[in-house]
Amino acid sequence: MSKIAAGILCAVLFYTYAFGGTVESFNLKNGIKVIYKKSDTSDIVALKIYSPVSVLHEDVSKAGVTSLLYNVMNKSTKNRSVSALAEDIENLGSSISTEVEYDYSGFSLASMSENFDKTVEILADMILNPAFDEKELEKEKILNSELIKSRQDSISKTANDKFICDFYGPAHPYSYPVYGKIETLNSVTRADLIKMYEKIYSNKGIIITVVGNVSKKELVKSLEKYFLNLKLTQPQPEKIQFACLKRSDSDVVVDSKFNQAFITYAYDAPNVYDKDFVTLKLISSILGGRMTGRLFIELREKLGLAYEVNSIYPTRIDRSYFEIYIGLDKKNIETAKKGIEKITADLCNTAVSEEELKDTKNFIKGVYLLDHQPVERQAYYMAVREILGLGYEYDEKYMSVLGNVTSEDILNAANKYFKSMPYKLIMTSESGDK
Amino acid sequence: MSAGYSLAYCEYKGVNCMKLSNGVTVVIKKDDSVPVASVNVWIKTGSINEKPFQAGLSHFIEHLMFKGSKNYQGDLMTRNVEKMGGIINAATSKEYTCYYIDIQKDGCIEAIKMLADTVSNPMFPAEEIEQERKVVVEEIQRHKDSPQSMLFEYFMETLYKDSDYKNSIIGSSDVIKNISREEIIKYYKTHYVPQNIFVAVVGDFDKEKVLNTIKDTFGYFEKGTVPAEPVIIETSEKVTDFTAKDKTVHTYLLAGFKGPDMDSDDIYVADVALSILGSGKSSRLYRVLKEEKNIVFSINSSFMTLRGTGSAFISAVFEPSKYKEAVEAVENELDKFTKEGPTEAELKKIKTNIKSSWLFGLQTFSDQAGQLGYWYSQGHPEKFENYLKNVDKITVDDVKKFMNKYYSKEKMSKVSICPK
Repeated sequence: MSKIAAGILCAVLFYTYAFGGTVESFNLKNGIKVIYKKSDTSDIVALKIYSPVSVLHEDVSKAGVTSLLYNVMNKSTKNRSVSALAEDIENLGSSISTEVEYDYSGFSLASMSENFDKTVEILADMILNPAFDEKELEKEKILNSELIKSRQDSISKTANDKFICDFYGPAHPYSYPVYGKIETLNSVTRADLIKMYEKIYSNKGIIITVVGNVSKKELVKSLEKYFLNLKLTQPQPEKIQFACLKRSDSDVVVDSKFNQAFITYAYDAPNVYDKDFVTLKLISSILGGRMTGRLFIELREKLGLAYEVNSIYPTRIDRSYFEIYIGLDKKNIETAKKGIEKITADLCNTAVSEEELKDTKNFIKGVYLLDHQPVERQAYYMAVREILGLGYEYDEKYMSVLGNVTSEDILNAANKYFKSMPYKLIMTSESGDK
Repeated sequence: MSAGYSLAYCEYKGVNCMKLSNGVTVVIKKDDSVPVASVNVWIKTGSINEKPFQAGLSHFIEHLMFKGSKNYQGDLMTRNVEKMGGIINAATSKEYTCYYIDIQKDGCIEAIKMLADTVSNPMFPAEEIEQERKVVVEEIQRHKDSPQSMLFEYFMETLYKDSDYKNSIIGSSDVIKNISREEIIKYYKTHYVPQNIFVAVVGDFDKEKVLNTIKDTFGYFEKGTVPAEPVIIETSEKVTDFTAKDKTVHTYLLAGFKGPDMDSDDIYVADVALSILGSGKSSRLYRVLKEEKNIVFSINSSFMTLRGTGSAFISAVFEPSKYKEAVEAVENELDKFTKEGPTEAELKKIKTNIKSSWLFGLQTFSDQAGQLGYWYSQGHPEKFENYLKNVDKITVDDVKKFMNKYYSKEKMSKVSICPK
């Protein structure tokens, strides 16, 4: 048996992917779980390496430490200066980017097949040998502060930042953008970065997903060559549950500098592990995300209130929210509020017809197929399912779970979540008709 | 009227192209690697085809196309698409309007039928026009709330003096509020003629069925008179700057100069030159202005290929107090680049990056149908087919010549939005 093959544990699992191809999973000698799918439609490869430690696990007095850590890791290593790192990646026509989400963090690699091994070597250098350069840290603090400030130039980001802050309260890491808070960024030190780095990159939950035109033999050779020095010693993070905030039933009204007004309604919603998770995802597609969603039809098509109206239900480890938002002229605020409340009330009072349910499921199934075409999206979906503890196979199971949701499930979930008092943000505009 | 089509006149990497006898161009590529398909319909009309009293009409018509056609009343088309597991959308630019459906393979034929009926038999219901005016006015308000969108508007108005590229895509609220149904239909009838229509279908389908369906639908679209080409070549040599004051936090800058049109083979070297300057973290502008001098928060550059006079632009965001420093640093880098040209290593790196972006950018059937639709509708499919080959031929000397031909400090317009 070759040295490389010996590095792989016996537990190699195969899973036939309905989208096409077979997904294999195996562990490297140091325990990193690898999920791999060969795709030869183009000579490219996508790789994700995710850790289950991220913003959710930050000390809020150091809000933004995860984002700063990744920015600094993305700048230089002990072996490569800032310019050398950028040159080395781009000389290969590859890209390596950071992915800092609330519940997980990591890197995303995209390369042509011919340069996959060389790009993996650079990625491993970034992860294993970060320089934690003080000078770069100071620069990144300024850049992140400015990035947070620049969110005030976007109406939807301004509304979002106000809403999440109020909705989660200052003790929760979901209450600020992943970049952190202006008031805490400056207090982050090099030692804080190192502490966070150790939490993230010694965690036993680290996984790698790879989709593209690279053989298993080449992949294993690259990963074994470059990643075995990553020592995974820390247990996976405990599931975190912050307490819910008590909420006033009055609207939060804020003046803004924008031409449009903006309304956000946010209902408490469960985490990804809850039995109602998939039902609420389906409700999100009944209401928004498409041109025949109820919000679009009622508020845009029938009433002509807005160009943009939608619903969002983020996938979260801790409690989530179900958000409905609309950008509109301020003279229409009351009409829109009544419209939103009627739409959610209808969901609570009347069962969704079998036809609407079937059409919505078909829509989701089609979007799933369309969205899974690029190799990076396939690698992403498997990685996210796995890192959240659902298993990469869940990416496909999700469709069958969704297929089993009934109109009664929807009615029950609507009554459970939409009858409670939502958080309501009304951002008024300077202009617009009175 | 005959609805036949001529023999395929080109075949490139599995792409078949043909022209129906009424002038509709059809491009198809069969690929059964994924059970989905993308149907694109490109109309060669956009804001450059509008007169001032029609400002925003191409985009408004794009919205109105979703309000029902002869055989798909009301929102039946949208409902059909979504229930069959598809997405439908549209986009309007300076030069074209594009409608597309990405759908599971079983919906491909129906998608062709629906889009054909929509572009050839729209109903323009009066009450729907009234309702949609409000939606588009809100879209204009949203557009005005975005500094990046407004900056692009100002940039095009400033760089283009006598060509129709100065026309805003989203247009004017006054026009949208007041334009009559008759004017809307008149514009539609003038520009939505078969010779201006390009159909691109890529995906998993039965080729024969798809071709017959296109023939039986788009083939019956009555031939019209092709409208006159708008003014697309910019002849004015006048260069001006423009600054708007707004309630932004930062300063947003677009600095640019006019470049080659699509007929010219200089479009390849334009892409190479602007990528060397500002594409990626190892590019000249990023390295110097962001990493070394800490003047900007973000910076990049690229070339915008247009059917007529194209534009090279540098986009940057920085603190308001750094305007002068940022502009001077950009000019210095461009001057130096023009004088010295790129190194062989830079050229090699950018060619590799362009190849990689090309591969990653054509992964989906929607990406492929979009590119085919765009290049065919703009009359230059060969530019798409030979793109990588031509990029690969570019030399250091070509880049230097390009910069000397098109750029000088005096030719560059600086357009910005600064905080009040």
